[in-house]
Amino acid sequence: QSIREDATAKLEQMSRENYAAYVAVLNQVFASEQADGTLRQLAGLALKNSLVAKENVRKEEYAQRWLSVDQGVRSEIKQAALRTFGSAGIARSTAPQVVSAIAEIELPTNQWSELIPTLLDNVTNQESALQRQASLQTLGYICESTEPMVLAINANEILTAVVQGARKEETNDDVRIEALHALYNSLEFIRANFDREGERNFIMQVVCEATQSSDERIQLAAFECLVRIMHLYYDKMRFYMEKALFGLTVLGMNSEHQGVALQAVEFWSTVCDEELELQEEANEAFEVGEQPERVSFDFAKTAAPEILPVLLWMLTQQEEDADEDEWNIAMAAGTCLALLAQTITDHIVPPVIPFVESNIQSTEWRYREAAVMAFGSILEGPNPQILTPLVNQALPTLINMMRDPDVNVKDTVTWTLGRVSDVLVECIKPDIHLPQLVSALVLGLEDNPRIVGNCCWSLMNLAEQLSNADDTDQETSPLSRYFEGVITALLRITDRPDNEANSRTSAYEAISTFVSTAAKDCYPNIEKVAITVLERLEHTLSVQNQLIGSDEQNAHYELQSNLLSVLTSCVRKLGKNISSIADRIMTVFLQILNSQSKHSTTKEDVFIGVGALISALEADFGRYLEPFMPILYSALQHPEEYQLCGIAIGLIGDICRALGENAVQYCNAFMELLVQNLQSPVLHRNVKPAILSCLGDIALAIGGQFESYLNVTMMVLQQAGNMRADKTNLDMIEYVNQLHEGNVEAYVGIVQGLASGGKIFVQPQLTERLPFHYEAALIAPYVPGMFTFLSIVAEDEYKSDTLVRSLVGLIGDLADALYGTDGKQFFQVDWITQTLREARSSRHYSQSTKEVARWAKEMVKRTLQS
Amino acid sequence: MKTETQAEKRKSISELHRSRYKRNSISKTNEESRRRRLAIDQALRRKHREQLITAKRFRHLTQKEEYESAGEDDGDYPVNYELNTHDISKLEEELKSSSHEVRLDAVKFLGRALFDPSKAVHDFVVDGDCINLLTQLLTAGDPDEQLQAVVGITNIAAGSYDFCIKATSTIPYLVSYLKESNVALQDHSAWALGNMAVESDEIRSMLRKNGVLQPLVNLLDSSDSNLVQTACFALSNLARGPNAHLEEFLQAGIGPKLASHLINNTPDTVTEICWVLSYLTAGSDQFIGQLLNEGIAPLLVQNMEPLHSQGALALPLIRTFGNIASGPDDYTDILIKEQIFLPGIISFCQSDCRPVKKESLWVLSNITASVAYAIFSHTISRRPEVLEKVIQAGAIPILTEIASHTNFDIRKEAAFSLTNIACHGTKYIQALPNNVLLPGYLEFVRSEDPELIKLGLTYLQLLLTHVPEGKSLMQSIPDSILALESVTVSTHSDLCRTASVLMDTYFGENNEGVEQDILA
Repeated sequence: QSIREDATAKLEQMSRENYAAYVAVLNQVFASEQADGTLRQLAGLALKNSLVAKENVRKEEYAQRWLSVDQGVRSEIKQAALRTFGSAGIARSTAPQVVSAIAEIELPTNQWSELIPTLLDNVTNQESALQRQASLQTLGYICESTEPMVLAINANEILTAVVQGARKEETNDDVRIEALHALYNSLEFIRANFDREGERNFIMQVVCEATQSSDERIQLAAFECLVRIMHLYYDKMRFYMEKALFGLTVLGMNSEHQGVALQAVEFWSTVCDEELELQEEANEAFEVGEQPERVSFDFAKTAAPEILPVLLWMLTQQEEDADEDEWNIAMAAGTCLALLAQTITDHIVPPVIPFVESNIQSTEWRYREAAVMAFGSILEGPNPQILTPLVNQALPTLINMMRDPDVNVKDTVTWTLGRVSDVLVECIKPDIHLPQLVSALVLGLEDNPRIVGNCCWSLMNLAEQLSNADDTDQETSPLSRYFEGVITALLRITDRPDNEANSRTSAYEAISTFVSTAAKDCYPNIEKVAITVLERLEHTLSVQNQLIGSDEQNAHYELQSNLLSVLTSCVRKLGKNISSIADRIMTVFLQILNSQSKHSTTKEDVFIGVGALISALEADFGRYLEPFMPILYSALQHPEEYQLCGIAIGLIGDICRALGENAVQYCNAFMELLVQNLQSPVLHRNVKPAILSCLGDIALAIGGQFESYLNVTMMVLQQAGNMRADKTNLDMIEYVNQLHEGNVEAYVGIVQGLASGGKIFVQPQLTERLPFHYEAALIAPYVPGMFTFLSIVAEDEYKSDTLVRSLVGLIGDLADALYGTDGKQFFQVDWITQTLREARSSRHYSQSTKEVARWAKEMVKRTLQS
Repeated sequence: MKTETQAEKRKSISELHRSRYKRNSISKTNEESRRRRLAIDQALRRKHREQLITAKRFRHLTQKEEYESAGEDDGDYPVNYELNTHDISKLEEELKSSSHEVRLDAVKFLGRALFDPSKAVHDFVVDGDCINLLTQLLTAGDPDEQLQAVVGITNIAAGSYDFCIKATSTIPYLVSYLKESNVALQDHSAWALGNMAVESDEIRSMLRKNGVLQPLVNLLDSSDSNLVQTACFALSNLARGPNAHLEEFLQAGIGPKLASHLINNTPDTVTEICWVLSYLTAGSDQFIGQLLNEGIAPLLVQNMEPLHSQGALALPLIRTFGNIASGPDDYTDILIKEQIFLPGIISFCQSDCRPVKKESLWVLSNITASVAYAIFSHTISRRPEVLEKVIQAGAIPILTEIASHTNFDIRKEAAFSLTNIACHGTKYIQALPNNVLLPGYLEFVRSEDPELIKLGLTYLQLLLTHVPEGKSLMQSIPDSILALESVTVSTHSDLCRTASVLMDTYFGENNEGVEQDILA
């Protein structure tokens, strides 16, 4: 043991100090036909592990490290690995991994260009089946991990070799499996080949034939290819569906091999995915009065009579005690049925309802469960008018079935009741069904932990659907009379020491939802919830030092997070009414923050709670600032904990909004820390947009007193405004969108904060005796820059709804501030008119964006006429 | 391990489907609930920020603009989906229908769709038959259809230039409706015309040529306060721009009609009347003179007290006063003759509403200014009697308070009045609390803004010249001489010259005491 540890340590040291020597040593072992097979394999894996990493930064680091190794050494390793393809020992299985790992690094840099030809040559000309299999496997790995662009020049040859290996004429089954795996991985980059009818026909023929192989593994690999082909090339499938796929997949669903049957169900789930997407595209096109680019062939509707009976039968094939991670045909069929209901809508109802009716009373639990599952699965898709009478009829039975002796049945029943509460809540009549439903669900909370989650979910859906989302201050609601009872039952679950089947977390989430959707007549009860939760939180603090082992600690922190989350909901709901217990809450918050706990999630949750408390108490929060500020500053000084740092930045904004001008005493510190964080290379970039918005929050709060920070702020904003996204990088587009949004929000804060009630004269008229606004004049030099930035953002085709809303809002604010001044010229440009029109009328934008745009239009109009 | 990742990828579609099995919205992992909590926190913060900035925005809208931006019309909601060309063809058919009900419903619907026009609606107005169809409804003679057609035209006129110009072909009809006895039709026609008048000089001239002015002025005779307010809205817009031909307004007899509404009226109406007056008085001294002769001044002054508690609604009244006070001295005298005028303005100077406060200070500086500017042009026309009245009204302590606290821009307005007072001579500058004022003026001198610096220098010059202890007062304030000296290197030559003269005269090299001060 110690020898081994010693050796590992030595090797690790070597990998850090002299990488070239390290890989050379590993290769020596790996390449040696004399060495022990297991040892060779281990050396190969170590070699591979020194080349690949999941995380991008490390991956790049490894690639550079490899490329800096001497050409000769690298070449030797590569040759040795290729030679191992033909080796008889188990080391052979590692060789494809080593080769593809090197290829992933070298091919994009235009090195090792002979590799692909070599592999292809192996596949076509090698006698040895082992060689061919390893070469195909390597090709598969390469196709999977390498950018399609890099492989495009070899696409034809790769495809030829792969398809050749997958043909039924290939007698070696292992070779054929590897070829099908490689084909699966290359499907994405052979789009050009797939567009050509002749080549497409050939590929489809090979894959369809493979589904008929006697080897189950080959059938499975072929079906996997079909699923992916359907996903990638739906538009091309009409012909093949009619000729073959339709029959093959229905046959596949009936296969005695569960894996094959699963893939055949997957195939139809994928058809539904594609057709749902096409329907959405068609709806969008219809709304703007255009023809959709692609059309649905309605495969699902055509196939429904054939596949529905099989799916319903499959629903009855449950496993006795299915594991959470289990995936079996009953589950796959349930998912497929739900997708099918969404795709073919009303047509699903007539064939499914008889199945439900004839099985729901069965003595066999499998049939009862399948019946309820079938019913629950079709609740989304068909017209609610068709479903409503059915649900009305079924509700009493379903509520009764909460007492079913079988836990599997009960779980599916609660889930189905949750679906009804979610999508068809109008079926639940407050006077007829609600009393029984709520008491059945409360009873369910006392039941097996497995069904607690769905009981909680049902209760949450009821709370959300029965409360009026638009009116947060309603006096009462149909659920008010149940509030106390439900909360008591939920709190009882949370009293249990364990979190079996996620039951405790579910209960806490349900409490939060009940609190946040409650009507005014529940406020006294919410205060009681707050106090109970506060007591529990105080208790957790008292036992903090007695925890043993990491499991106990993790459970402890999870519980604290749950409690904090409920407490925060109570604070948000009660607003100013929380004052009477605010001191106690803040005391606990400060205790947690000041404890030695290294657990960052708990701290985040406390910070979120503090944010709620600031918004609730507003200026009254001022009395806690003295003890809280050092903690806030410390979080801002630790950018490596970026989530916490991000919330801390949000808290600055909260404090500014709550305190207004009185926040000025803290602004020196705020500004310094914010600018530091903005320039920090350590801070996660996703936090940076929030810093920009925060600068606006400060300006808005302290108005003219922002003067001393104006220079640095404007400089920072200009720098951030120069960021552009590479149009092929979606992450970057998203990030730049957020950055621009933060930028615009900062400008909004500055313009509103400093120019409020005053006019920005771009060229101050010194001689005229006009009302002159000192603070507005401060902004004047930056106005042209703001418009340049805005015009660039406006022309960005990828801008999000929120960005557009901020953008048109700022245009309106500027119009207001430049009203009656020489700044009118800035609005006499096309992009402003166009942006406002688009924001007002395009259906891509939300109602609130349209409202802001209409307002901005009025402001611009007024300014243009001044 | 590579083999695992490949298996993972092959399963990715299945994974997606598996996650949908009996899906509910409860977080499955700690990480998921953490992400959710963070997302809610961020969303709420965004909401709070938007509420704050939106509140600031909509505060600036007038009632009419608020109507237009909110899109509400007596409980009718704007069409909230996008009309396409199919919908438009259908609508066109309905507008031509032989059934009155169908036509009426169609034109109501069109009116709401025009409020926030989609591309298809836009094309229908600009290139299509929209205006023709609406005009047909106007000429057909059914009062309900006429009214709804005018509503549609109001919304078209509120749109962009290409919309508005289209609507102008209906001006003759709208003008004729102003003269009818149907109040709703009169009101909406005036509104539509007012919307057009906002658009441009070109359209305003078109409106005048169509004889819009007299009928609009006649609407002021109405006893319906809503109609009077709409007429004022249209008249204010018509009075905009350099070529407004304001003489025609007066010839049309607008003066007495406006005046009649200033007696015992609600703040809403008074404000609208004052908007018209603020445009008329901005025109020329001649019009102000005529309005004053018609006795407008006492009526305006009477409304100061009722509007005092109305925040920004008082703005047009104060602006009108400012315009009057910027005219010849005898105009100012007419205002001051009203006993409650000066106390009223000084009380507005203390308003909580920032623009009201600022414009009131501007009015006061216009009243104290006539002489101050005369000094710079070396003409002597002092009118101490005006100043005495200002001082008697208690202006100095209030101006001093404002000039030494609050924000720079407001301070500056107050400082103008104080400097003006100081310019009236030794007696007046000595009466000012200079020890309180000096630090504030020094801040002006230290600023970057030439106008502020000039204001500060003027005061320093007066202080040093006319107040015996002025120099020692300067020396008692740390860095004050440094502040003055810094202006001697200013790039503005006149500021630089004034500062240099003051430095040389009072703190020159021969003066050892000062030398020490600077060193200390």
